[in-house]
Amino acid sequence: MIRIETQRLVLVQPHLRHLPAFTAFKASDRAARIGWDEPEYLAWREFTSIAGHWQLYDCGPFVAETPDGRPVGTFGGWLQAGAEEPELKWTLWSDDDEGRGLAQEAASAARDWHLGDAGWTSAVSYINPANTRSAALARRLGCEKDGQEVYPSGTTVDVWRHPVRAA
Amino acid sequence: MMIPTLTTERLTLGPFTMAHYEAFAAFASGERSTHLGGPSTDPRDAWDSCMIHLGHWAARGYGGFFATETATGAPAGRIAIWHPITLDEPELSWVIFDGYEGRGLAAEGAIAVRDWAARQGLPALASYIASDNDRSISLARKLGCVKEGQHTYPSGKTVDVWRHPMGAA
Repeated sequence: MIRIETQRLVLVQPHLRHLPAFTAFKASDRAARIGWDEPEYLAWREFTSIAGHWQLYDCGPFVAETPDGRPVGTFGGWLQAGAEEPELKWTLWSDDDEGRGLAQEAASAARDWHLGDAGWTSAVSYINPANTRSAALARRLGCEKDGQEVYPSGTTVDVWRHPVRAA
Repeated sequence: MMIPTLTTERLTLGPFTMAHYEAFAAFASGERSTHLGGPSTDPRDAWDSCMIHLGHWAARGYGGFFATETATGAPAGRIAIWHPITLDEPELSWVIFDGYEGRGLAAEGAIAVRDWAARQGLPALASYIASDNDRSISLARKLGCVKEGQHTYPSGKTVDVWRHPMGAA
């Protein structure tokens, strides 16, 4: 089992013990809910998809926990057949965890691991322009805006390119 | 999580492969995917579905079997035990990819997965089928299922619950 420790957090692979907190996030205003699906179902789908991603690629979104085991969000990589570039994604589940740099700490550690241990050579994040907090985090992580992408659904997102350290 | 591989006369049922993603994405973009929430031409949707059925194994210890036509190596469908946290019991679902319908492959795969489920100690499975999904209903009948009521999703959509006989252990 992979385990990454940062100053204030521990990043671990997702486990069903995280599902209740993730479901609460999906039920909150923080998550952009699409359609009629109940948060329990959305959380289940996303959680199992993350587990499948880890199984297939041996990398993916980590769950960041406080030292006492409270999960604060997901941070890590996403690969997809046919996708042009490896993606880094994040979610922060509670308002209470905003504003203290926790997301930056976790996202930075997850990025280092993917660009290091997992062997990635580049990474981008796709961020809805309306999601200003996420864009601010991308900036703090040293990302630069690199065009836009239009999803087949019609949603346009900004492409934020992550810096890659020289080997 | 080691995902088992089952073999039938014509099918190999096992873990997800990229070839199955391509075939599933083609299926998901067509009208036959209506009863699975499709059609969708967004490859992200098809990809998520594949990852979900793969990750289901880690969560439950059972999940989706991806079917390959053994003789040709071609992806033929997906026979899945589907048990999200919002359902009280595991469901047996089936998808046959374009070009592999009408040859009894779904029944062949479903029986193998149903028997495997019985060997794992799972209860008699249910399949949730829309009342206008004639092809799936005729397959359920062929598999010996009995209609035993209805299930209503939070969307308001109501489906018939078809109860399978216990698989051969």
